[in-house]
Amino acid sequence: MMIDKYINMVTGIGKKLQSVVGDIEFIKYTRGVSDVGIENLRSLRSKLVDTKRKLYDILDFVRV
Amino acid sequence: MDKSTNLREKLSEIGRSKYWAEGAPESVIVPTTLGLVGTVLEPWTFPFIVSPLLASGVYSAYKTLKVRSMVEQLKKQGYTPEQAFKNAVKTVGNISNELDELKTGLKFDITKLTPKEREKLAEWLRGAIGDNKFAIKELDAIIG
Repeated sequence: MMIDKYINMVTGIGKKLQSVVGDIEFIKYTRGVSDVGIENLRSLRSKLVDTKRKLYDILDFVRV
Repeated sequence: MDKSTNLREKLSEIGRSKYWAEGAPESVIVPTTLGLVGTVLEPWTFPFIVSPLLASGVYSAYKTLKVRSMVEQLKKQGYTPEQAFKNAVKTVGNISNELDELKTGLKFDITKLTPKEREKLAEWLRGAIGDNKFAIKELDAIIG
């Protein structure tokens, strides 16, 4: 069914987001902020803001 | 799925569950709650109130230990904060491309989905938005 294809896509995206959260937690618990650099983390944040905007955009499109 | 991806997903689960279970750092909740309890309730009611609070402290300590052990396992595998960052950037790039593909596909197929199917898809999207928001919140916490 077509809906399954789209739900699988969103599930895959959700799994990837969880692995991103895992990486952030790893940096947090190893106190690796100085190894990575604040500016780099800010840049990651802005990429995540961009994906959040895309997700909301798709949600608006899908909502009946 | 390799071992490190599995561990990173588990770390994510614990991070999110700790966040939703506590809502705020325990060091803030417990003294505030005990202060309120002390002013409102009779002393004989204390065991009923304090025990669950202590139990939640034990649960939180258990989770912290679990996080530490997973972090240590990843470190033993040679995983570093720099690698975690590189992987996170790469994964977010892939997510961004997949979201573009998702939107293009939906532009063609949206009329083929029933209202019920669309609502189901919207629910899954809301879940992904929750994970995305949590990732931003965690970053904000470490960036300061």
